[in-house]
Amino acid sequence: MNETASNTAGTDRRTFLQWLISGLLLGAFAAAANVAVRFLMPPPKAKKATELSIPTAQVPLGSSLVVEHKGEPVIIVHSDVGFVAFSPVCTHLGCLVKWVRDENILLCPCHAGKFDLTGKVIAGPPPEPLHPVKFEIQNETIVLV
Amino acid sequence: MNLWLKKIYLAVLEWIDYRTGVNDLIKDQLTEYRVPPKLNFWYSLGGLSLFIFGLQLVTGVFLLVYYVPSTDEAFESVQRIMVDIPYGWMIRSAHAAGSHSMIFVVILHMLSVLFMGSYKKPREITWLTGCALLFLTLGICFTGYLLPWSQLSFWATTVATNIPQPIPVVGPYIVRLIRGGENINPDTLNRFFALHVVVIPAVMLALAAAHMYLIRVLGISDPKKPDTDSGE
Repeated sequence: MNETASNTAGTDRRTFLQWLISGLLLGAFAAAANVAVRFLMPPPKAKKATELSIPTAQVPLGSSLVVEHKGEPVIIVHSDVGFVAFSPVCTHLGCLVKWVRDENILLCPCHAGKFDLTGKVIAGPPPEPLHPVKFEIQNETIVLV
Repeated sequence: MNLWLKKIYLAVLEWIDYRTGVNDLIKDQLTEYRVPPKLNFWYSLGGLSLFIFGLQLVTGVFLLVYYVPSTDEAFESVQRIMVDIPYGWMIRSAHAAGSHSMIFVVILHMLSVLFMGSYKKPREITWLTGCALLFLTLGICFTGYLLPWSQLSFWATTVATNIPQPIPVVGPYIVRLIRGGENINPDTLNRFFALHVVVIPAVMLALAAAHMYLIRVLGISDPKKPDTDSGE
């Protein structure tokens, strides 16, 4: 009696059940994958702040400060020539440069790339200057825009 | 289109089989594996505890991503998992519920083996590895309980590590060895962490492999014909 059923066109019971079970398994797998991805994914980074104000007193002469602005790091250096601000991301392979006061350079710790305080490469492998960050000084305050 | 997909699927399977002989293994151990007739619920408990152990490994690795094993940060990191991390509460609750159900299932498994006499010759080694696995399961629950570094886990571990104290002569030494000091201290947390996430799981995996190898070698025990052949 089942022969007639399986010989006619359309879906027979076995195929239907196979599809049903594969569908349920796939659904369960998708639900588990959703949990895993949501659990592991970090929260989206805040890019809301359009302006960042830092009192100049926070960066006294002969010091540097790294802040986060629009989700990216910014290095502010206060030297004899005044304030400069750059993205500290080295243009070679993306390590973060730091200011070496004694030599008055920005040094990348990874492959010893050296930049002067205009951002120009003076030694090492970086292919282009550091990217400058625009800022203004208003009433003893550094404003990153 | 279906036929074309199936062709690729079969070709891939054949490519793998030609190089590994895995089809014979699947046939022998899975699709055409013979078991005694009329197996019931009581025969499923070993497999069930293996399944729960697998879940514990998965949820445990997920917890390990955010948990910080230090007395300063452990409690806060657990709170972060419970409150801030999406589905963190679910992963941690599953890990806790899994540990309880594993004890429950493992003890039921032991009772069923005991009452059906399945531990008898030639299955003594299977039984002994199972006993070791029971104690390791208790040990992994015990060491995991301290990790949140809460009031509850701190004092529970204080009480439990006091238990060997009255043993003559060696008691106090055992307590100090477990605690890594006179009292529960930061070193206790770190050694319990090492035991909980590395040492005990690794030993349990090895013993479980031996346990299952022996089951496949000796066959599932059939209480109705105890002293005849090895199962099949």
